[in-house]
Amino acid sequence: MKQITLIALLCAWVCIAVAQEENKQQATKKNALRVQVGLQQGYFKDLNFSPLNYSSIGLAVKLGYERELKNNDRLFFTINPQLGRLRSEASKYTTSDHYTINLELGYLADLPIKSSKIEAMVGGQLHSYLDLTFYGGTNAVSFFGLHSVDLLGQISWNISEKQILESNFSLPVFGLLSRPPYTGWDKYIVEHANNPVPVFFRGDWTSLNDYLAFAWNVQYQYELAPTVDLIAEYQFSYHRTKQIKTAILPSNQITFGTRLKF
Amino acid sequence: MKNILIILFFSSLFYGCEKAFLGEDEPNDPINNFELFWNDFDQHYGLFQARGWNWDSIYTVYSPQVTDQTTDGELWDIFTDMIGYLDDSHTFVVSPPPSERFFASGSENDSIVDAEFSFDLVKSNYLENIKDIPYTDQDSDFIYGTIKNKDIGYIFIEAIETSNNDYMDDVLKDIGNHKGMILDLRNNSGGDDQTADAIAGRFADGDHFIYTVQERNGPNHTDFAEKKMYYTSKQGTEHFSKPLIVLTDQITVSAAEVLLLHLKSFNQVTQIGDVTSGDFSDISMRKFLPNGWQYQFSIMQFLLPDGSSLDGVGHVPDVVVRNTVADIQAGEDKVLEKALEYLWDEYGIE
Repeated sequence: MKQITLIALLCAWVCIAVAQEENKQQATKKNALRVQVGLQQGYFKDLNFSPLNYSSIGLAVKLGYERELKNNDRLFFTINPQLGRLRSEASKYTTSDHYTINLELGYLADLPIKSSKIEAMVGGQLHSYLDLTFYGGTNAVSFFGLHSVDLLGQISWNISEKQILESNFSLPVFGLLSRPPYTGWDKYIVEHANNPVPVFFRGDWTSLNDYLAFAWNVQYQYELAPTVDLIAEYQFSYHRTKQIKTAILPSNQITFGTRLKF
Repeated sequence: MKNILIILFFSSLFYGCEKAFLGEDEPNDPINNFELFWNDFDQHYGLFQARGWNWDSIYTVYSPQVTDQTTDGELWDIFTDMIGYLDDSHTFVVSPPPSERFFASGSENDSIVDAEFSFDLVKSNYLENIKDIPYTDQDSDFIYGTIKNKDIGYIFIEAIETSNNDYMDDVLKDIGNHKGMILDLRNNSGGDDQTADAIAGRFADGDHFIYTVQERNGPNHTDFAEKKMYYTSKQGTEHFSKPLIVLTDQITVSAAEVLLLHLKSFNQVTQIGDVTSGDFSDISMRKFLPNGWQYQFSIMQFLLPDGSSLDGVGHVPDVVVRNTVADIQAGEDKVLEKALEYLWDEYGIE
């Protein structure tokens, strides 16, 4: 039901934007808002939570704002929550709730490339990734938080006047890694049960020696109107650490949506 | 269309690659289930040191009994024997349907102790002006009132849980004018240590250093985090500083025992009844095994300021008295009557 509502809202937004476009003058559009919805599918192993392997499937949403600056540089903000369920082969009674959220605030600088078809950008972003797992309410809880500075790369191919294929890659190089304590649970967590935010920022500042993480996506954009693009995007992210217990969190996401330029 | 297909191709690329990313799943066989179970306790259980248990001896005894041919029922019996050794009611194992078995360590006598207490008997034979305690589960037993024909208040809480830790202010506004008070913690299943702290703050006679908590933080049985110190002090708007009798039995456990750690540091508090369960630690998160079984256990050690532990010992009452089933059947609560006798003998309160 949630998916249907979101898709309906998305379609409504596209229709309104196209209708408005007919009445607008042509102008350079420097801002854009994007809304995408789709599915997330991934795998999960967190020895703090369980020795079992799990698969995950659920809903994904991606919302973003971007602004084109001088020299074609770009500033952007993205929020990408996923709401899923974890299942194992052991028993249906191990099924757990699984939530992730990505927050990204980034800057991309345009690279001068002598090609009318290819554009490349590099930059960086502040990135907050949080993976939360709950079994039976709070009978079992685990989390993986990485609040990092990422290196970014983007390459896009102008297939035609209305079509673009774009790919992005991000690599967190330094960040605050937040994991449950050795026993998975301690008085600090208990005493922050009503306001858990500090729990997800308790950790060590660290780098690639303590974790491996990256995200990569490829997206197809079709210009439906001068102010509206349709987007299809595939995204893969991977997080792995051995702090304090091994966690391996690969995730696929496919979303469809639109970008409204103004 | 071709480009959409490219997106869909990438999206399907990693589907079905669980083993490539995560490695082989844990095998579901008796030996591996036993090894995971024993090792998890060995690496994380918090009370080997405080209770002096030799977990290696459990491996020596039970490991040879587990083979590939061990049945589900035999493995269940082995697991319950293993955790039975720990005598820790915070430790349990459960198997999901269809077998639906549950075993809690150290709780073998709970049904007997339960039969030696009747809350309905207390309400009908000893209390008047009975009211529900606000901010507590109205389907459970959280009540207060007055002992019939006496200037003594009575509070019964079956757990240390509430949606508002300040509820004792409301209770004391109503019955805090009595000369004496009975806080009945018999059959109390525990709950939240912060709630225990808040309740105690309404009876505190000053600041006291009460206990320390350390979580297990390494593979050795003696690996613990730094001690976190806990104090008690006056809290809330209402305070009761007159004689307080706390009633306990062998089911009184966990946060109820933490509440007693606070209360017993106050001069006006007397514990009457039976020794408490002796299980103070917070419980681990739920743990999972490849055969679908789940379990939990204690992960901390609570120590008194002198470094000693009441885990496995419990709070020994100032006055020991225990009902029999025959007492209950005869309509008499000898523990409550002893409390009333004590208030008269020691303080002249009736």
